[in-house]
Amino acid sequence: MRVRAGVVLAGVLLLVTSSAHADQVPGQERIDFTAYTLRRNEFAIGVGSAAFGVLDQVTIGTYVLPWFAFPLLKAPIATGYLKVRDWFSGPVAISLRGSFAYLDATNLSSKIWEDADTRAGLFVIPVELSGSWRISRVVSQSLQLSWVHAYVNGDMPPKNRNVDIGLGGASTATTGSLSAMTEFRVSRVVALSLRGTLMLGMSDIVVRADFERRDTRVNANLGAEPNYPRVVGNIIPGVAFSWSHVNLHFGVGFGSNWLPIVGVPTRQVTVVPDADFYFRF
Amino acid sequence: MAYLWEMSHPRLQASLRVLERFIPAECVDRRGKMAGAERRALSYLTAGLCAAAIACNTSPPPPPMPQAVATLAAQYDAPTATLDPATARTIFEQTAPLRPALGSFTGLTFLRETLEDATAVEFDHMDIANDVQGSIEAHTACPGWENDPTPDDATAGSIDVTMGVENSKVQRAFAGHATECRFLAGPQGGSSNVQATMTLEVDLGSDLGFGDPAPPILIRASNATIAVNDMSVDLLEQGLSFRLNTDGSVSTLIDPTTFGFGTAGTVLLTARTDGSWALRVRDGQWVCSEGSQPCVFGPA
Repeated sequence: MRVRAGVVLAGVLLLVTSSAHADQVPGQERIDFTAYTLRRNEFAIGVGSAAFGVLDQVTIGTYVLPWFAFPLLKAPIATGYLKVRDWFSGPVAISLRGSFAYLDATNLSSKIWEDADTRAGLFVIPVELSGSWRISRVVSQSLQLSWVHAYVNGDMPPKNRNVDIGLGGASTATTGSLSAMTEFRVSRVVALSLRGTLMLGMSDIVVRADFERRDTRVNANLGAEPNYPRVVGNIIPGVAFSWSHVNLHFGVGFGSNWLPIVGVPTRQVTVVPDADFYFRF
Repeated sequence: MAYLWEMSHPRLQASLRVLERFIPAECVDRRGKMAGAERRALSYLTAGLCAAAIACNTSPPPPPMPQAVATLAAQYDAPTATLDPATARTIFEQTAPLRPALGSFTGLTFLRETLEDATAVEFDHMDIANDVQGSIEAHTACPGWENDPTPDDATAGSIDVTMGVENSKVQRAFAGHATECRFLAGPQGGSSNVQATMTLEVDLGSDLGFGDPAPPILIRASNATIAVNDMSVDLLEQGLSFRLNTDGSVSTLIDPTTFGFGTAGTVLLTARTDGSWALRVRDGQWVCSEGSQPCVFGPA
């Protein structure tokens, strides 16, 4: 019974046509994992991100959920991005997106160290170069090259009343990955997608730390190879529905989960969920 | 040619020097093998791109490891002489001038704590990385002559060491320096005021894991100036070596021929914590004490 209802629902959705605001129409394409941008003065706001088209070729935005991380992390994660697309309209589009995410983790670290006087911060700089090709009215192909640099720093004063080790320092790591997404537009509302991401490489994790234990002051300058399997990637089949203003994407795949914004994949191979819901107007 | 001129232009060079201060060391270390101005231009281009991209995330290399002290460690582990009771007693008596000096180094056993403190922090308890490499610099104040629980390196002197890390372990040998390092030495924590300035080469016998207890520490000192109470000795070119053992005893390797004996091989002289002395030889050890009793042979 449930299966039959699902089939009927899918059939209805496939038959539905919608207004020109739908994603599946040229000029209204989805902007995540593609080279496309919002049109001038167009807004998109949802659980994943909020974005505004400053020009047809320039979109600014922010990731929404991290701003509400306050209860968990005792501080918001400030995020923002600027996406610039080529000025030539045509079947092929190229764009560059620069983002940032900053977490002042001082309150969190103080909580962890039981109100000790600590300081901590996380700064992430993702940069994405994307290319999209509308091969036909039905099929589009996008490629995205991502580079993410993460920087963590912090310190605890020596002779802290809660910890007997003074610790301070910084850690950095850089990750590169390649994503590909193929879209099949089944109707003006429904598109099927197949997205895969492959980690091209991850730099050594470099740590510079100063700490003091008893009367010994130590300055450590260390690096290490990330402990990842030889191949890290995932593949996610999904479906996207796009009505006049409402857009819904979801999919379930397999492989490594890429941590949002930070751009670092998990080592565990598992089910990879993917979902987004946003309004576009 | 134009950029050759630019590279030699003083203002540009000054700018590059300013730029260099903001470039991570590992980026600058990546300079190519080309010669002259081309190499320099390429270096700065590479370094600039490297810094701009913030992508120089390669593990820092460990410092060069001193080799001589590792060779010496093998000799400490396997003394080669064989002695009869009379020779053992005679050699022990001949070492009388050496024994106070060796005893004074018992005051350096605090280095074991320093080593453990410097290698105590675990780099990766989440197992997200492997093959840790780089360097660890440790600075510690010496204990001083007042048994101050919080000694000040301005008055008590200090010891600095730079340890290499490779394959997630502290390399067995590393270098350092003692600067006007003051400590107490002698029986039971000692009554002698010792001050030492010397270049140090240290060997741990094998690579050390983070958080592991300190093994016996072999120290090869050179350019040493050591003062015990009011007596000062300069050992500028001569090296001396001693090993701080895990049980608090201190050993040094001696060659009986330097005392005029025809005995071939080496003997390990140890100042034991109970006040007795041991001469470790190839097939065991002779335990000797002050006075005229004969030395007693036993297993090492």
